[in-house]
Formats: sequence, structure tokens, C-alpha cells
Amino acid sequence: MVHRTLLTEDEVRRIARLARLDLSDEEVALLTPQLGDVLLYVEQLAELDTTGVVATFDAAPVGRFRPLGLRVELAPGEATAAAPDAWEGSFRVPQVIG
Amino acid sequence: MIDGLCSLRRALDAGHLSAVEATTACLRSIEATDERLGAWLAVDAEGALAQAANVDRRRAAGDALGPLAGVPLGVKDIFLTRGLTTTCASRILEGFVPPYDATVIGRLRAADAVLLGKHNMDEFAMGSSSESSGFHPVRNPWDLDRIPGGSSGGSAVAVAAGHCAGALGTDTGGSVRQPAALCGVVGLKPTYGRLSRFGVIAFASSLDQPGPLARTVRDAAALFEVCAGLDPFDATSADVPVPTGLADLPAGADLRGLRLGVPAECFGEGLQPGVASAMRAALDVLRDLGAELVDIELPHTRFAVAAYYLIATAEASSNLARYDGVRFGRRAGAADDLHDLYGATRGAGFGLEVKRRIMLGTFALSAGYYDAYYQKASQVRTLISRDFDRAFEAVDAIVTPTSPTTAFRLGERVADPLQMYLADIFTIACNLAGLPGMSIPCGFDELNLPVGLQLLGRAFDEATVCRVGAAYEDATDWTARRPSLAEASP
Amino acid sequence: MSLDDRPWETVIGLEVHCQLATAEKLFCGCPNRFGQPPNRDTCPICLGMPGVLPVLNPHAVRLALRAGHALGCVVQPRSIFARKHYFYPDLPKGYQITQYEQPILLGGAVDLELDDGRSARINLTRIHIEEDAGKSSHGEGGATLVDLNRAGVPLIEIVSEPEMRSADEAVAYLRALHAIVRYLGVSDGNMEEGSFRCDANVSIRRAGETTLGTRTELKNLNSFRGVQRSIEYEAGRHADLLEHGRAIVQETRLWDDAAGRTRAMRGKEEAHDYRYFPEPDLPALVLTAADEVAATVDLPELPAARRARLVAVTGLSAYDAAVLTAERALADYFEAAVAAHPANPKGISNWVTSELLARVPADAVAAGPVPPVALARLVGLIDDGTLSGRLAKEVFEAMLAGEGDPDAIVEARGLRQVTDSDAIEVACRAVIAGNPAQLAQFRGGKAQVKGFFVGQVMRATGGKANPGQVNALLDRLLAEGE
Repeated sequence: MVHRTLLTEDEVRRIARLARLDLSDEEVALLTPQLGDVLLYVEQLAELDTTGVVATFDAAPVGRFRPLGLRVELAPGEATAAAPDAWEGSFRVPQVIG
Repeated sequence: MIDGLCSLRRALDAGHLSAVEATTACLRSIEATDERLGAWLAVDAEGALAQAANVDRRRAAGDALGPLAGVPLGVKDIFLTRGLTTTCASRILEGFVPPYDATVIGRLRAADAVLLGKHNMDEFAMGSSSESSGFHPVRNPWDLDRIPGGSSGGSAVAVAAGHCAGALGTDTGGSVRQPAALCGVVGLKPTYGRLSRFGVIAFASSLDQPGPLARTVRDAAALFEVCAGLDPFDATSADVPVPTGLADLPAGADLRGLRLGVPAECFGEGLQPGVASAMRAALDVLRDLGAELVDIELPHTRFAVAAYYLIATAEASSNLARYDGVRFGRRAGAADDLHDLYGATRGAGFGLEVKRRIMLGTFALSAGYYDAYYQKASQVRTLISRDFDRAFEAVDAIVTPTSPTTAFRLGERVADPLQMYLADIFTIACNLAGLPGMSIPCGFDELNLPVGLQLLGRAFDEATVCRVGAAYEDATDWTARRPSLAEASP
Repeated sequence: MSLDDRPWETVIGLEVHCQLATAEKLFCGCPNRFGQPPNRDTCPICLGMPGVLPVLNPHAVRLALRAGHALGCVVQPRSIFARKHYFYPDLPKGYQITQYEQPILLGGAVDLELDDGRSARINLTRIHIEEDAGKSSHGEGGATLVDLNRAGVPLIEIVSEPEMRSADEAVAYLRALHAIVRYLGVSDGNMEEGSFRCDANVSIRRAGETTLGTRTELKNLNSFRGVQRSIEYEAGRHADLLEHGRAIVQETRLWDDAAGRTRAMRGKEEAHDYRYFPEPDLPALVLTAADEVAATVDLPELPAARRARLVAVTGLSAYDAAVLTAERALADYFEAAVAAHPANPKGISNWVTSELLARVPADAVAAGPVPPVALARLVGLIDDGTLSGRLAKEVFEAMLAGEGDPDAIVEARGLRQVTDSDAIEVACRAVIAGNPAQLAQFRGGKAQVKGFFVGQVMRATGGKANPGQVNALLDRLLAEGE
């Protein structure tokens, strides 16, 4: 456990970039102490000795395979019907720059 | 205004009422009070009336009808409905019309239910007050200055206000049970895997579970039976037989021979006095019904909120990565660089609570922090499950308050996310362990605000939960009480 | 840039992405095929729409296990899918579902026979199952167009240990792996369509050193030649940097095939924080004994074993055997032909490698215009003297043109070689009698004029006379009158 996690505004901005989430300066100022509080709160987990405890990642025991031939059919053009921008059946986005 | 689901179904079957009449009554009720309540994001009056007319026509022709024929329902706006706008109460999905139905929506349609529309909620189901809706907050029908709980607040309010005979919500950390408690209705969170999650907008995949909200235990059970069962489109849906007959549990049954666990942790400090006294009275009723009350310990549940907020936000940060303005939903601004487009779209489309959780979850999964946060929380999850395993060796069900408080005021906790998160302190452990849970009205506090009793059961044992709930309900009259706002509507 | 005469050793590890030949995608029922209009083969699931969930295709798991068995991997009875996060428009969900900490297959190896006769064993680290991303292309006005037909197509990623020591070795490894996955029916291996592609991790060190140098990862390698050239280029670039006292930056570089060089990838900020965590929508993949057995049914003989057997049983050269076993269909073709004409495998091999492959692609020989039995018959007709080499080529052309089996063509065209010595003698005598001037020259000592007579006889017989017989008879007849 990381003790005394004190998030800095720079750290908050770094995470926001990783999450592709534009935050205003006001939001960064608001979120930094709030996230720090939550991280301090969750540090109580460090009290617990979990050595050798198997982690639970899902509440379902064993997965099943898919029956073949099962498909959600879309009508022609429906794939891009909800897209903000589409061109001749493709989704259209700006180019990656730099 | 219409009565409960099972009584309405009987009236429809007997021909005392047509589906169109029932639907029209619901639409009028929505029109009369929803301006004040804000429970709905979309009402499909035309579609609902057409569906009702279709049921009436088929009934007149003597056709076989589904188990919910003509029953008007609403569903949380987290369920995808083909052809009907689905936003998850987020601006980022404003105007999104899904090309497919959620599996449970398909099951409601196949049961000939009438779908009135979509319920307001916390944005992406992230919240315990329904204030984080990207469109407008929901208000509690018992006191319009108070929150209805969340995230399925719109669903609980619509049921409490008599807008619909029942509703489908989702419960990730208490999002069905807590608003049910705060609005004085019944909410059932089935065992993880009971109801398909296909077509349900994901918040935290390993915790999310759809569940019904209704006026009574039997009403909720009727919805549960229709919606539950294996779905080949959901690899986590369970291949376990669905109990039947829960909607027709005999009236006035006792609870002799049943052992009910009472965890000391849930009856200590932090309970509002009104909640504490309602709970004491409820335990007396259960004892009078013949149940044996057994003190139990769930020592790790005090870590549940911490574990939950790491696991749920980590999964949420991942599940919400797809809202990028490329294939559906809204795209922000005129960014001519892809990275700008992503950041701007997500920055403009998500509300503050969603951003907060994406940030927390991204941090918990990021390089260098995974072991300390996500891995650790997932191990604690195992310890919490083991607490329940041990408890259920000695008892058949567990009784706790649903929420430590009754409905709080709008805006009261918005500035303090941690306090908001603690509203779910009694409901969260059940999701971490994947168990079934139910909230049942069990009284009112001094402000005439509803209090909820929570029942937790063994995995896939919704039957016992419903049996205890129905017996308690039969022995009390809390579910019969309605908010004055509902009584006053046409 | 070559490293040939410099004191460096190249160290290469390959990550091969191999599309699985399933009918459906990995997590949804959309068809797995190439060449459709944009987004035709999509559904809400592979589009990453809200609310969708992945459910695993059992056929993909079976094919992965099949590859694992053939490569000697250790099958993991329990494996875990994980989410790998990054934002890119061809990645619909914002994460790729892959296997990270607990893959389905560990270990394994590929045995190589190198052109210089050495053999080598390249060990595998792991093989895991994952989904492919879609494709981006450039549209008008600087826009990017996204087609998600490929999104969700099943892949196995085959990760080698850094055990290859030259670009040649890397290509030999890749060719061997390519042949194996095609033999197994695990993949169509079509490199032009991207079904089989790889990334290379390249570093160099001074010969004799045991620690690894700083590596760069080369992407976008979609041909054997590209792999060869890019590794050679990159190793040379590393050497140039080090020899000038500069450091190598650990980074991902794109191979530009047209320019013949690698360049650092742009715009991949924070690319290395993928935030992996176990995919909560897919419970652990737990294999039953039945799953494993199903994967081993009808496992074919693999290229290396087949090559060795052909050398041992038919006496082919190692080189010919390698050519013939590169494609399962070609090896099957060759063996079917040998079965029909067991007397001359070498002759069949020559016809296949020098004539047939010049005209018909290796993977299409079985369904082509020259069935193996027909080619065997053609070689048989040469062997029994019915056809000369020249006539055989004419028959072969006719077979390619679809005129039927060799016997029918020989009959229809009257191509049967004339071996009747009486008939040949008549022709020879007629030619000698008709060309007294040339006869006189020959007898005057110009021995090379004999060639004239041979030509005339062949011409008179329409090329069908057995040339050996013609020569022998002319020798006798021209000597007769002296």
C-alpha cells in the first residue's frame, strides 16, 4: 500500500491525460483534494493482511463458450447510423497529429 | 393511478380494466406529477398505447398472452431499448437510439408488458442520490426537497408515485435497494448472474446486476421471474434454474424454523435514530413470525466501501473508455486532432461525478498502483465473501438496515463525495459477494420518511429472501402507505 | 549498414500475430472474412456499443490449442482474459481483450533447418489468444476512415524467446511457423491480407557478451522480405549509433518498406501504461480434457517431419524437400503424384518445382488444371520413352490449357514419339537421297553436316522421331555408302 498518498495537481493532470479526459483548472483544483481524501480513506485496506489470499475478480465461477451462429443482426447502414461523422460506410475522425 | 403489479394483472385478466385504460392512467399520472419529480427521461406514450391496444386486441381474440400482458412498466435509462433513446442520463449519449434491445427488455416485451419509457438516474449509475443525472435531478415524492436515493432513483420514484406498476433498475453497490428504501418501495437485487447484463450499459461489470422495483415483494418477484435466466449473450449469466411461484407466495405464512442473522456491525453507531427504532421494531416482527434471530459477525464488511470504490471505479474507467465520440453519441467541438477530439468529447460529455470515478479508477489501474489498489481490493473482496460463507453456515438469511439514514436533502452531500459513498455502507458487501438482497419498507422516521429493511440471502436463493420479505410484508402495512403526492394525483 | 564485417551480434525475438481461421469472430457471431465493404461485418458487440458483452468462440480456442500441441507448448488448464487499454479509433471499446498474466499456452519451440545446413531450435515464451483491431485508412481532407470489419477477429500471438541471431534466422523461423499454422488449418496465413504479421524486437551486442542490449520494437512487418530488410537495417542503425558513442533509445519503430528504413512512431504518449486488469465480462477459461482431445484430432504431419521423411524415403535433396513441404497442399500434391508413379520421385519433383510452380501458385496446385495423377502420368510417359522432353512440354502446355489428361492429348495431337526403327530408317534414307550436295560435303569431311540431316529427319517426322535412334541410324547410313 502506498502510504499518505497525496495527489498533486500534476498527478491529477497526468491521470486525466491517460483517461483522455479534459479537465478545466477549476475541476483539477476541485478533484485533487477530493481524490486525495478517497485515497486516504481506502488506505484502511492496508490494515488487512492479505498474504496468500486469492483475489476475486468476478462473481461468476467458470465461463461458457458461445453457441455458434448467434448474432445481433444490424440493418444495412445501421452500424454507422449513430455515428457523429461517417462517410460511405466508414466512421470518420480527424487524423492523429504529432 | 394504478395499484400494484399483481393486483393490476388480476384486474386485467378478469377484464375489469383494459391494457389501454391502465396505460392511459399511468400516462396521466406521469403528466400530473413528473414535472415536480423528474423521474422520467423519456416517455413513449404512442408506443406504449399501441402496445397496450395490441394486448387488448389479442386478449379479445382469445390469444395466449405473456405473464405481464398489458402491465405498464418503466425501466431505468441504463437498459438499451431498440428504437427508443437511451442515454444513461449522460450528455455524452444524448440522442443515442440503440439498434438492439437488452436481453431483459426482450424478455419484458415477450411477456407482453407495456413499456412506458425510461427512468432518470445518476449519470452512468454513479451516485446514491440521482443528483448526478446529466439532465435534471430526481426528487423524493415523500419530500420534494430530498433526494430519492440512487442510482435507480427515477425508477423508485416512478413506482412510489404510481407512474407505473413496476420498474427495472440496476444495482452495483445498492442502486436498486437504497432508492427503494428511501422511497418506500420494494427493490430486489438478484444474485450476480441471475439476470443478463447484455444490453445494460456497464458501470462495474463484476458488480452490476439488474433488479426489479415494485410496490410489494410479490410484485417484484413477478418481474424477477420473467427477467431471470441464462443468456447466451452474457458469459457471466448463470445456468441455474429460476425459482417459480414467488409472485404467488401464500398470504400470512410464518417464518418458523428459519434462522435470521443479525450482524452487530450494522446496528451500531451511525444509524439515524429513526432508522434504528424502525429496525428494532422490524426485528420484533420477524421474531414474532417465528424466525430465530442469530447474532453473526461479518468482520470484513467494514472494508467493503473502500474495496468497492477501488474495484467499481477501476472497472468503470475501463467500461467508459468506449465513449469517445467515434461510433455513437456526441462529439465535442471542432477538434482537428484525434487526441483533442477524445479529450474534448469526454471532458464535455461526462459530468463531475463520472469524471471523479474515471480518475480514481484510472489511477487505481495505472502502472505502479495496481497491486496496492486493484489487486488488494480484489483480495479483500475474497475475505468479504468468506465472511458471508461462514455466516450462511449458521443462518438462512441476514437482516440489516438498507441505509443508515433516510432521504437526505438535495445538495447536502454533493460537495463531499466520501459521505455520499458511505450512504451505501450496508448494501455494498452484497454486491462484492454476488449475493441476492432485497429492501422492504419497514417504517417511517419522525419526518415521515420511509425506512428500508434489507434481507440478504445465499447465492441463487432469492426464494428465501422473497419468502421472508412476503411474510414480513403481510404482517405489517408499510407497503400500503403512499406519498400524499401520489394519493392526490388522478 | 551491414553487420557482416563488424564485431556485433544481432539478437532477435519475434511476436507473430496470426489470425485464426474461424467462421466467426472471437466474441461475436459476425463472419470472419476479408474484403467486405466497410463495417459490413459488424454488430453492436464488435462495434463496442454500450451494453455489449463478449462471449468466447470455442472454435478459436480449439485452433489455439491445435497450434499449441503442434509446437509443443504446455496447455494451461486455466487461463485468464485481460483488458489492455489504449485509445485509438480502430479499437472500439478503448481496450483490447487479450491474455496477459495467464495465457492459454506456455513454452514450446520451433525447429529450423537453415540454408547453410545448420539446424536451430527457437524456444517460444508463450502463445495467447486475443482480438484483432479494426483498420484505419486515410480519407479526403486529412480525415481518417475507420472500418471495423476486422475488429474482433481472433488472433493468436506467438511470442518467441530472443534466440534468433540474424535476419536470415528470423525469416527461417517465420517461414517455419507460417508453414506450420497453414498445415494445421489454424490460419490461412495470408500475409497480404494481414492474417500473418509480426513485430520484431531487435538489439545488438558485442559477440561473446551474454547480456542483452537495448532493444527497439519494429512494427508493420507484413512480408518475409520486409522482416529481413528491416532487421538488417535496424541492426545496422544500432551499430552505427553505438560505434559513434551514442545510446539506443528503447522505442517502437515503424518499418517503411518503400523507403527501406525504420522510423520512430509518433503520437504514442503514455502508450506504455496499458492498465491491464482481468476482463470481468469473461470468467476464467477452464479447459476440460475433452477440449484438449478435440484439439488434437487429425493433427497432420508437420513440415519438418515431412521434409525429413521425403529425404529419407524418396531420396530428394534437402532443398527440394524443403520447397515441396513449404505448403501442405503442395506436399500433398507431390506425394499423390509419387503414389501414382513411385518409380521416379526425383523426376516428379523436377517437374513440380521447375515447371508446375512456374505456372500455378503452390497453394492452388491441387485444384489446378494439372492433377497429381496427370503429372505422374506425364513423367511416366517420358520414363517409358513415349514422349521426348520437348514433346512432354507440349503435352504439359496442353494440360495447362485444359485439354485433358496426357494420354488423351498425346492421342489427339498424334504426339507419340516414333520409335519404330523401320519407319525412322525410311525417313533417314529419304533425307539422304534428297540432299546429295550435303551428303557430298559430309563425305568430304564436314562432320558437322550430320546435324543438318538430323534436323531434316526430325522435321520430316514432325518431331516425333526418337532423337537417339535418329542419330544412331544416320551414323550407320551415312557410313554405308563410303
